Amino acid sequence: MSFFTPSYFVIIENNIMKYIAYAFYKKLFLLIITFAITSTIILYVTPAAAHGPIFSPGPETLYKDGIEFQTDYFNSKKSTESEYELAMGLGYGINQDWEISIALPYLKVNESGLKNKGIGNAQLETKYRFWKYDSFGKQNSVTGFITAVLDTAKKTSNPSLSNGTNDFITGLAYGQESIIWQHWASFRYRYNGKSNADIKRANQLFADASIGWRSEPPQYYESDTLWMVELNTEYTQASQNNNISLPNTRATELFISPGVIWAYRNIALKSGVQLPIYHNAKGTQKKSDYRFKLALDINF
Amino acid sequence: MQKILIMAALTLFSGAVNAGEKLHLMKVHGAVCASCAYGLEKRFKKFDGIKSFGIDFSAGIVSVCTDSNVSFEKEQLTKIFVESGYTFKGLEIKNSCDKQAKILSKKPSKNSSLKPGQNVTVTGIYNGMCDDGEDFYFVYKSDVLEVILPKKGMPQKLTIGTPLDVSGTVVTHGNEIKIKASSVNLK
Repeated sequence: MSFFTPSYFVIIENNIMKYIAYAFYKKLFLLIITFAITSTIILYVTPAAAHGPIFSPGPETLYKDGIEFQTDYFNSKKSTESEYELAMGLGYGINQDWEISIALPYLKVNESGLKNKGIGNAQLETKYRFWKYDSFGKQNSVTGFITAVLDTAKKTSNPSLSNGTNDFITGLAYGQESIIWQHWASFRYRYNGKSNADIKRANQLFADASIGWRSEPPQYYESDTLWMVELNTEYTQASQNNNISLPNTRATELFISPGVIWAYRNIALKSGVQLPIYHNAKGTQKKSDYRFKLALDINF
Repeated sequence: MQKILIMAALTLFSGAVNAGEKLHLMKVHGAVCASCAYGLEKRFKKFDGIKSFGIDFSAGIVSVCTDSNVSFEKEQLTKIFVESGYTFKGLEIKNSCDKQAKILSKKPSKNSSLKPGQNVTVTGIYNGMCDDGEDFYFVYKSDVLEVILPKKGMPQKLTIGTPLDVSGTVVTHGNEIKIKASSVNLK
């Protein structure tokens, strides 16, 4: 058979197609894994969260010229994937309604025996409280915020800590806080950038509602314990390649998240766990087992 | 004789120290948690002559004990509260800081000298409304008691530290001692 015969050419062409298909699915597989990891990594660094909910944004802003130092420990498990994160954050109150903050995580990821660790994606956030109503023993407020998730993560792969894009989160948070009961609600939209390989990770929509309660009014010179429960909903759209939706990328998850805040004057220790109560995902996407967070906030 | 003179001098001296104090009681709206109120303490403590800072979340009162020569303008206080994230609603000044310790305490008494079932008329000081709006805190001797509001006849414009006569029945609520008031009058 001559090299130039049509049948030999077809064989070569088939092999090339197989290689392209293999390369594409390998890339797609890596992409989905990367997405699954990075989407959880980035979302749980919540800089300058002060005394609000643990897994969702609250409407509180720092007082004018206030400085907040925050350190977070975060751990999540999803089937054979686990992740550990230690993040440092710093916030500053430009005035009583406007706050800026930065956070940088250090990550350790374990995925089916493959491990990676290093610096994660830095977050820059600005929050503005555009409505507030104070009354006796009560404060109602609404805050808008924009967060830029910068692609600063370590670039080595397998498993990757970077998704190769800069992403943005925007949303609104409402709170009604009194000396006994606290109520919060928020929604966020996460816009993920398009990578150089023309792959667009799915955008996400988050809706949260939380309630907090303390057994007696707080005392300024005594410790204060606030118990809370959050409901966190996450809707993930389909990821795309060349504007074509990819399979196994659309999902809806609902979590119930009990937590506690212990505070003494300018120091607050917060902890909570997210437990999945509803999971509806396309294809073979894995269900979250749990997410745990411990945070220390100090205001100056 | 020498001891008596020293005692008298000490008494006069301590009296002079008390006379050199001023308690600023400021009504605040929106203050609901200790960690967020830290900005207020930070701002007040920048002033000279500040002795102590306190905040009573239940009563919505910020109390600042200062030297007697310290005074605040209304505009100044409004700015301090706004920059701390709250709303300033009014100022009242007392010539002594004695009441500050009392208004910072809201722990209801479990071992009062009053006994359940007793019908009493007692004199004490008003210490702010409770969160439920149906009771108020009342300092009787060194105890903080909750008083269940009478159905009618509460005095108007009560401020923390106002002396009151409370008549009613002593009751228990869990481990706490309360007075179910039949009448509350200004002393």
